[in-house]
Amino acid sequence: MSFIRQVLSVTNMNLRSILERSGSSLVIIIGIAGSVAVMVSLLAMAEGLSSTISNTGQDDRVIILRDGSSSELSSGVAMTEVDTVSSSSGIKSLDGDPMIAGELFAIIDLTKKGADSTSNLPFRGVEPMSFAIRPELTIVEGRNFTSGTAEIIVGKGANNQYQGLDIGDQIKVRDSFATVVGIFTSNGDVHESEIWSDLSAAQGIFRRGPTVSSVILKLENKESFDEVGLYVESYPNLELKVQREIDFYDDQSSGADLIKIFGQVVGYIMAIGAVFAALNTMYSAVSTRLVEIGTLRALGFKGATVLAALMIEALILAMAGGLLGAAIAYVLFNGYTVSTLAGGSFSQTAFAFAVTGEVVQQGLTLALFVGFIGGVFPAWNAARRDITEALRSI
Amino acid sequence: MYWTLVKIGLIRKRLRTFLTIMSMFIAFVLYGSLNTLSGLFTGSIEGLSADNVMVMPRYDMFGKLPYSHVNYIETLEGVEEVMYMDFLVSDSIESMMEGVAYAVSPNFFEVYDRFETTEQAELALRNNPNATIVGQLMADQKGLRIGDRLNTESSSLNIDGTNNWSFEVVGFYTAKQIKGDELGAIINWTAFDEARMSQKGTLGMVMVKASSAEAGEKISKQIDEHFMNSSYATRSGPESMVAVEMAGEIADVELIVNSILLSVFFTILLVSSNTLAQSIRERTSDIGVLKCLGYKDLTIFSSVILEAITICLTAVIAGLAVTLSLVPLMESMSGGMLENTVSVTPSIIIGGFLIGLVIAFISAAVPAYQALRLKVVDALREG
Repeated sequence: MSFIRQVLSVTNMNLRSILERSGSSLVIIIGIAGSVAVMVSLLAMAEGLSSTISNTGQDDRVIILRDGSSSELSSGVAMTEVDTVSSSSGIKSLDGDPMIAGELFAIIDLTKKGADSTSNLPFRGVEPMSFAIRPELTIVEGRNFTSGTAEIIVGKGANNQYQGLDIGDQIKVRDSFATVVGIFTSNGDVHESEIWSDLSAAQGIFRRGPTVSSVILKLENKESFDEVGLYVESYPNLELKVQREIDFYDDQSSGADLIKIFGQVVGYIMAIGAVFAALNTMYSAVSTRLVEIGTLRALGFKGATVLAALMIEALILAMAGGLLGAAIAYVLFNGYTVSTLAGGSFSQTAFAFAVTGEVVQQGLTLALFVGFIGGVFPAWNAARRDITEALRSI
Repeated sequence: MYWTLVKIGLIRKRLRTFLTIMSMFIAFVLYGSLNTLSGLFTGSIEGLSADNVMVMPRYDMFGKLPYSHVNYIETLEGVEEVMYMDFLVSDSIESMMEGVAYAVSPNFFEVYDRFETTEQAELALRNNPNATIVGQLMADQKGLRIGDRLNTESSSLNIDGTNNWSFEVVGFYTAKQIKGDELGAIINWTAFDEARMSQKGTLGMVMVKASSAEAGEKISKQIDEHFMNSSYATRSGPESMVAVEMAGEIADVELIVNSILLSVFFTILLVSSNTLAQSIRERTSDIGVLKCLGYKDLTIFSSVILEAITICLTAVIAGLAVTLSLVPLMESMSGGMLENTVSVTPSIIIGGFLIGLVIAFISAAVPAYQALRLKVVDALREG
C-alpha cells in the first residue's frame, strides 16, 4: 500500500509541474494526437465502407445470378427462369405468393454535386415483392413510384451526392425521362446509393426485353438455403448461381480491407515518429527534474517509485494525446459522406465515415504504446541514477 | 566560424539532436513513399497515348458497342487505323486483378504500339482460332510456356453452353511503361465472336489511331454526336483522359494522400519546431556569453538557423534515401505489376528539401531572434 501511495504522491508532484513544462508536454500530446487522428480517420473510412456493403446482405435472403457472373451488372436471367425458380421449396410465402423478385440492374451517369464530369450510379428496376423482401427500405420523403410509369425513387445517399435528384426533378435516362417522386433510406446500406423504378418501366428504358439481372428471394428460414440451391442445380438447363445475399456482399468489401491496411501502416509509421518525439520530451522532463528526483531518492523514495511515477506521467500525456486525436477525427469526419467505386458494380457507393468504439480503441492502444515506449527508457534511466550524481547537477 | 558554433549546438545534447532528427526522418519517409504511391495513379496515366482515341459505351463502362460502329468510324477523315476489342472477363474488379482476356482485331499491335510481340506469335494468332498471346508478367506468374493451355471463365457463353474458354499459348507480349498491362491475354476477336453463343458482333471498346492529336479531338466529337441518340451512344476521348476519369471514380486518391501528408507535416512541424525552439531557449545564457565575447548578432543568428537546417536536411536526406530503397520493395511486393511505374521523381526530392528548409527556418528564426534581442545582462541572468 505504501508503495502505491508513494507512487501517487510523486505522480501528483510531476503532474503539477506539467503546467510549468507545458511546451514540451504539448510535444508528446500533439505528436500522438496527429498519429492517432490519421489512423482513426482512415480506419473510420474503411469501417464505414465495409459496414455499408456488408450490412446490405442478410443470411435469410438469396441472390441468384447467371452462372459465371460475379456481379449483377454482367448477369442476365430470363423472366421465365425466375418463374421456374419461384416454384422451388424453401421460399417464404406472403399471402400465398412466393417472396421472390426479378430485378434489373443498370448503370446511368449523372453529375455529382460540385463536379463537372459525370459519375456512374446504379439504377434498379424492381417488382412490388422487392419491397416486401427488404423491409429495411422506407420512403422518408414523397411517395413510392406507381407501377408502369416512368417514376423513380432515389436513395438518400444518391440524393445527397448527385445534382438534380430532389423530388419533382426530372432526369434523362438513355432516351427517356423519369421523374423523382420519393426519397428512401435503407439502413445505410448500398441501396441508398441507388435509383429504383418499376421493373417493367426499367426494362423499357434500357431496352432489355423480358430479362432481369438478378433474382432476390427470401428463405423460409436460414437452413432452407440448401433446398433452393439443390432445386436450381438439379433443374435441367438452368445455368444459375445461388448465393446467400450476405456472402455476395461480403465478397465485395475487399476495397475496405485495403483502406484499413493502408490506415494501419500509415498510423504505425507516424507512431514511430511520435515515439521519438515522446522520448525527447520525457528525457528533457527527466533532465530538468534531476534535482527533485535526487532529493526524493535521498528522502527514501525507492527507484521503483520514481520509475512508476514517470511512467504514469508519460501514459497520461499519451492518453490525452490519443483522446485529442480521436476527438479531432470524430469532429472532422464522423458521418462525413463520400462515395467510391465499390467492388463489383462499377458504380458509386456512398458511405459515411464511422468513428466506432472499436476504431477509437485501436487509436488509443496506439497512443498508449507510444507513451509506454517513450516513457520507459527515460524513466528507467532516472530511476537508476546515482543519488549523489543527481543532486550534484544543481 | 559558423561551423564551430553549429557543431557545438548540435552536440550539446546529442540524444535530443538524434531524437529530433529521427522523428523528422519518419515524417519524410512518409512524405516520400506516399507521394511516390500517388504517382502510381498519375504516373501510369502518363504512359498512355494522347493521339489514340478511345471509344467506349457512354453509359456503362463495361457495356457493348455493335461492330457496325467500326464501319462508320473508318469513313471519318483523319482516321488512320481502327482497332477494336472485347473483354472476356468484364465482370468484377477482383477478376480483373488476375488478368483480363482481350479479344482483339488483327491490327492490335499496330495501333497499340506500346505493346510488343514477335511476328511469329502475331501470325499464329491470325491463323489459329484457339491461339492466345499472353502478357509476360502473367506468363511468369502462372508459369505458362508456349503450347500450354490457358483456361478462363467469361460471362459470354461458349458454343458448348458453358462459360469456360480454353486457349493455346502461342507467344508472349510485353508492354512499355505500364507493367500491369502485361497481366492479360490476347485472343482473336473474329474467332471468339464465331464461338460465342450470346452477344455476337459486339465490342467492348474501339481504339482509333488518328493522324494527329487535333484530328483525334475532332474525331471524338464526331463519333459522340453521330451516335448520341442511338441505343449505343458512345463516350470518346484520348485514352489518357478516359483513364483519368476512371481513376477519379475509384477514389479521390490524391485528396486522401494530400490530407494525410498535411496532417503528418502539421504534427511534425509542431513537434520539431517546439523541440528546436526549446533547445535554443535553453541557450539564452550561452548566447549572452557569445555576445559578450564580441560575436556579431548576425553571426549568432545565422549559426542557430544553420544548426536547425542541418538537423532538418539530415532528416530529409535520410528519409528520401529510405524511400528510394523502398521502391524496389514496393515493386516486388506488387508481384512486378508496378515495375517502372513507381519512381521517386525529381519534384518529390526538391519538394522534400524545400519543406525541410521551411520547417528549419520557421522553428529556429523566432527563438533565435528573441534571444538576440535580449540585453546581454538579462541573457546572462537567465542562466
